[in-house]
Amino acid sequence: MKLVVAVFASCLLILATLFTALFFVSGSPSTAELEGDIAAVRQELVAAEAEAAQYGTGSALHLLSMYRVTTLKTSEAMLTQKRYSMLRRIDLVFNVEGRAHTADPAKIAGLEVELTRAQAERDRLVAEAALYAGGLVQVVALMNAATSEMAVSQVRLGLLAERYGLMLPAPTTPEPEDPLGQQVVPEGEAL
Amino acid sequence: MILAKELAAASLLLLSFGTGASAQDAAPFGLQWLASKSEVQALGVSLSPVKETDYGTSFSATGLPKALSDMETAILSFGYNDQLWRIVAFGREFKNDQYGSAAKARYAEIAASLAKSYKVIDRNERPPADDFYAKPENFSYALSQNEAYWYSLYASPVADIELSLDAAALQNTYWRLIYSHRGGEQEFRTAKGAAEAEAL
Repeated sequence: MKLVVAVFASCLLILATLFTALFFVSGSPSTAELEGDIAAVRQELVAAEAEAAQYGTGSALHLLSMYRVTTLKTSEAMLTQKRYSMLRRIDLVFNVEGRAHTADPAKIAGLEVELTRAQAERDRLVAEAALYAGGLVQVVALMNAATSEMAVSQVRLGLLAERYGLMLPAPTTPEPEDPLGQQVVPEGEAL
Repeated sequence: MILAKELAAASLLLLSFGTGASAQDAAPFGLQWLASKSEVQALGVSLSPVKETDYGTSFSATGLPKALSDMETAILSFGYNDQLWRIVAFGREFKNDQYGSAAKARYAEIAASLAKSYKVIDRNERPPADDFYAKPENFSYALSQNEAYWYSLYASPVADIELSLDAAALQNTYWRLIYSHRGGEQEFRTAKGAAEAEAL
């Protein structure tokens, strides 16, 4: 009986050590941090959808706002997928050229600085748009603010992707059917 | 007397043939000034008609012998005598370039290249006088509303060249190059005036 208890206690100790190593020693962000990021993205998504609803469908401001909504929904989907994988202990790792992607702290720091700058610029332009009462001047100011909001969403998506080791599909530009030139040359030769 | 006149005419005829294309006939992008539409197509260029009649018969061109990496469109215009006299090239749009930084950088590169080959006539890079349009974030909008001008003028022995910046859709900027062969333009304007006088 004592032997059984001793073996059981040893197993518990080993499991506890393993548990601690997985959740606290690992360099990847915790579930709590992930939950916080998901909540922040969802909060911003609600605000973005409310803003998009203000503008007429098809207008430039509506298009810009919907682009921001799409970016935020992509962020939410990727973070939620990562959260489910952590809950089920599924190692969601993306491979690039045969190597698993690992978060780069220097890149994350750079993106955080870029996000802070983008948010400051966004706040400045939003405050400026609020100065105008209407007319084309306000439309232009609102366009500037909407563009800056989109930039903030895009930088945040890149930051979250890097932090949680998520992969974004690389954009592909389709080749034109009829190239403009038979050969591309420097300015000195073409002009 | 009659023999002398015939000899003079024959001499003029021989002189007019010339010895082939000279450097002055060379147009940008590997083309030849005053070439006919079929001669341009013989260089491998594909021409598609465009609805532009202010400068004669105009075509959108692809397959130019030479092109810049960021050229998006080239429009060739032929006069009433089927001679190439005007070439316009547009650069690819810089998206969300409200401050105009991307367009200005590319403009400076092209301007430097043009200055090496052609005589600089004028540079007019005028920011708007109005407080709203003068704001840095409204540069592209100011361009689109003609509240700001950003262009340089050059000249070769036979052609005038204009490099300029413009904007589309409020925040997308692009560069534009316009080449005009002086002789070809004069020929076109004269023929156009005659055609209009005949129509009226």
